[in-house]
Amino acid sequence: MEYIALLIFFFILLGLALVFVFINYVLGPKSSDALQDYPYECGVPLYDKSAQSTFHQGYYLLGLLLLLFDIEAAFLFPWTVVYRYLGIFGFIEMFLFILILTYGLLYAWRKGALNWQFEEESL
Amino acid sequence: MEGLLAWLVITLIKIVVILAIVLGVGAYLTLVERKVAAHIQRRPGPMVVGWHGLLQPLADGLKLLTKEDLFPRYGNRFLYNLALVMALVPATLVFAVVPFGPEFEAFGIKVKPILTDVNIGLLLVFALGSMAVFSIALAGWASNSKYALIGSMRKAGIIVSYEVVITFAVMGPIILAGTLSTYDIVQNQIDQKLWYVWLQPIAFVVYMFAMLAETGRVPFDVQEAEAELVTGFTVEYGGMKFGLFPLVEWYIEVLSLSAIAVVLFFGGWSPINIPFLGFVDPLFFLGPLSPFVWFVLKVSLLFLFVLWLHWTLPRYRIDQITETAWKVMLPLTFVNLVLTAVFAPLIWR
Amino acid sequence: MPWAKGEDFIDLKERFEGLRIEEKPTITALHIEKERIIDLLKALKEKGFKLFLDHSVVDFPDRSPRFQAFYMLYNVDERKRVIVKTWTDGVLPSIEKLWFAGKWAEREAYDMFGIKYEGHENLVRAFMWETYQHFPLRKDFPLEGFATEYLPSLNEVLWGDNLQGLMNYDKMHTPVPTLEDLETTEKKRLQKKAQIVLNWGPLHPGTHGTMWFLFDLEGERVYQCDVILGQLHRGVEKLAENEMYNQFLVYTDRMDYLSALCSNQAWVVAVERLLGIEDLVPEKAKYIRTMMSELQRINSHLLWLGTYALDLGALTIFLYAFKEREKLMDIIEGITGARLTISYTRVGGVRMDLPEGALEVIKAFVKRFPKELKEWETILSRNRIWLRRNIGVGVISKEDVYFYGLTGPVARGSGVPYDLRKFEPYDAYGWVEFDIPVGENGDVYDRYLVRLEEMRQSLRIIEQCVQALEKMPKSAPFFAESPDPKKLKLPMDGIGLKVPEGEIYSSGENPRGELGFYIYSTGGVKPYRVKIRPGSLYNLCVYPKLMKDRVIADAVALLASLDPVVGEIDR
Repeated sequence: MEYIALLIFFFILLGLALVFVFINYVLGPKSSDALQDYPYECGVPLYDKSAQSTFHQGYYLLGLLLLLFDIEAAFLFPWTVVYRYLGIFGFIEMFLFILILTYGLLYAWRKGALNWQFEEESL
Repeated sequence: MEGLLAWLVITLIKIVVILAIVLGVGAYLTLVERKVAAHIQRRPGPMVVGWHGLLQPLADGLKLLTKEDLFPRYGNRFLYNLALVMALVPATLVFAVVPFGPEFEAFGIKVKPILTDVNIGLLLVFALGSMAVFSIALAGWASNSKYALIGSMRKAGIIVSYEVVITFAVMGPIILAGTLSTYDIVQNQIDQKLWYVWLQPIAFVVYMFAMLAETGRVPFDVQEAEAELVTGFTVEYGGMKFGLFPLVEWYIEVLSLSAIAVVLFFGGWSPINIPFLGFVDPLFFLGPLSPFVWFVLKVSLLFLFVLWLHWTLPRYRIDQITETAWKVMLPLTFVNLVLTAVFAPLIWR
Repeated sequence: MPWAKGEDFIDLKERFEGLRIEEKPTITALHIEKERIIDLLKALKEKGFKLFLDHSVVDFPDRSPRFQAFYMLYNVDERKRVIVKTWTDGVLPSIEKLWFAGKWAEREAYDMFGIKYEGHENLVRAFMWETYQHFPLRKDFPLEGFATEYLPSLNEVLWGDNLQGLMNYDKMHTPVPTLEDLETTEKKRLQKKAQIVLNWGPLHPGTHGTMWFLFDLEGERVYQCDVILGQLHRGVEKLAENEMYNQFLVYTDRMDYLSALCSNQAWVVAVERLLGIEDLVPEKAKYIRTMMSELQRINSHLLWLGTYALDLGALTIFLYAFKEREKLMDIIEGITGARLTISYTRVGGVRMDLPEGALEVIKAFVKRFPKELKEWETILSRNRIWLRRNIGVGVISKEDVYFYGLTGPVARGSGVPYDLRKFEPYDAYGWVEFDIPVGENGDVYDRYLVRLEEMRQSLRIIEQCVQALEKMPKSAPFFAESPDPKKLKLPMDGIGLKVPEGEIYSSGENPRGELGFYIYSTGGVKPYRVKIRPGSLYNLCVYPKLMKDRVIADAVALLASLDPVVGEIDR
């Protein structure tokens, strides 16, 4: 029942978003200019016609770490909820888990994975 | 059958209220922001449209609505529009689990002022929160503009870092409350006579940092960075499409994350707390309205705090932001988690 | 005078046969044939003349060889300047290995005069687009240009041939670049080596004007960078050759439009020195000029501070700085009648006396301003984010200052105390006390601190000027009187001001570097050639080097710390 409310809300929002997508098309004026759809790059000729090409990113290792840590967070969430009923055993268990996590973080730190990867060769 | 109908009506009313709050208040927050910024900068701000610029958001909205619909050359039209949908829907959906006040009775029906009190409320918040990155990444990619691309990539970098931080930061309050339902978290704080911010200052500070980062507020507004990237990923959007991105990012998300912060750390709708002793309510004369006022008041204060930072600080560089997240914030949350686990049994009693 | 003496070069005379030393009160020049020019420049560099100031040519269409090239060098340790001259018919050896700034100067000479440079790495046009055919600063370039394109203005389109009088222009215009021309220019300037070439400018809020940067990006890291200038090129040097000395004054306003009074002052001081009447200018005029220049310096630095903070995201400082700047503008407006393009000075003095109460207003400003400055410093100088964005970014070493010909706060930020107000005091600078702040590390933060401290020092100068002016009687003259009106007419409007044959290089300390004027006069009311040394241009030429391997986020910090003004770069 609770999730149906969520679903109703979702569909209403979806409709609203679609309205926003098309409202300018309906209400706005229409003009035609040869350069009006020219991508903004300070008004000069584009060196590369398309921006959709390879683009090096400095955080791809962080992206991998995010996956790891998020999965571990998924393990931790149930524990936080029921920790109250687990007693000392639950504490030790999770303490070790967090210790291992910390160790993993330190390892990544030492390896330089937490730094911004300016160049691919640097690793 | 009748029960179902009543439920449906109540749900629809709640949705309308939430939408009114989100879109109406969201639009008026632009005015609030402009006024606050103006007074920080020793100028009056919008004064022309309406009394002290009160009609300014309407004028802005009208202007945005009547702009021409342009689409950048060589772009991807489907993804371009999808980005917009993916920005608005998840960010607003978060409000479904925000409890605005305690349960009350109207016309003989018990109403919880929360759209749906699911038992995994907080998980839902963060799941939806991380959807924001898709909208921005798509917007940057589909626009086929280099500025947009760079801006969206930066934002992805921030989310990648602060997503982890914010999840680990909220674990402390969850341990204390022992539930993921937002409504129950507030109820537990009231029962334990304790705002969790007193026991979770580290988590709160980290949460605020992560909130600023996720919403792209100064000092983490690198994805927009007017002076470098013009406006980053929104550079190829026009009209209402352009208006919607800041609305979602700067107002709706800040509002929802502030509300969650109030729920987690400031006892939701409860009045001022004296730890372990009880609550003092200077607004008692409002009667049953008092909790709602308290909730709104707390959220507004947090929002104003965000504005204050926004109009005072310079901005970080992207590599400095991610390094702070992984090297400072994340270890802090680990420490906080262990500490909380140690003293949590004292709180439950 | 700061010129080197003939005896300084005796050892060079032995090494270089045919080296002729010309010593005049306004200039010291070394003449040599062009084959040995590189050797001579190298020897001078070793001798201590390390700072490159300027290079260009003077065109003599009737002579053969046609062009006289000159190189201006400065010895910072001994405070001496020298000019090296040679004759050429269109080809010169390149000095880019000796001074990088020479590379840009050569591009400009190539662009404007068509001089070819042997050994230049990438000889492209400095201001005009690559497919442009002519060389505008040559004497045989017609003033009306080459009207080859049919380009009617909006008025002409609307009204057809019905435009009256002066409005009725020729519909044929000199060519303007098309998108294809610009694309050729862009491709010739930078060969793509990394992933994406980003156009950063000309219409971009972070470039402080219309500068066109090309960033070859590997991710967000800038792999290589180059600049395309000339969006604001108006041919000020050509205009100077065709205007009278006082008429040209208004163009100095429009070069560095943020520090018009300083540019005005530099120009009139140059002309006065060429005329030899520097001592005739009344004391009052000198104090007024100095005071106004310092007000303008604070004004300019305030704009820099505001935009710099804005670039780094601190939006509020921008408005704080502009609020103070507005007060300053009001003061300047009250005294001179203009806010931006001021033209207050005249050859021989100033246009008019200070109005009633001007000194009181300035005193009030001087009293209050340090408090504001202190407040901004509390917001910025110790702010962690500010420090992390600034410290260690864009380090310029002392050697780089000389190699790239940097001057002004940029040079001083790197610890080179090159300040013309001290080295070659003009007007009242010799009579007032002030210090030159210098940086230690030469990073962005040091340049920031230097500029802040310069504002304080400017206040000191203004205070002393106000004190001196208050002591003077109301009736004290503010304009020079010619000792012999038959020989030298000195009218206020400058009409009939004849300048004798001669040449001079004289410069003033502008807020953003040394603004120098090389005036070559063949007598008469107009100069034969004026070469302007724009501080901004040479300060900017270090930018591609600083940008290498930095991210885009640093681009704004670096550019703002160099503080260029496009009007002066392009002229």
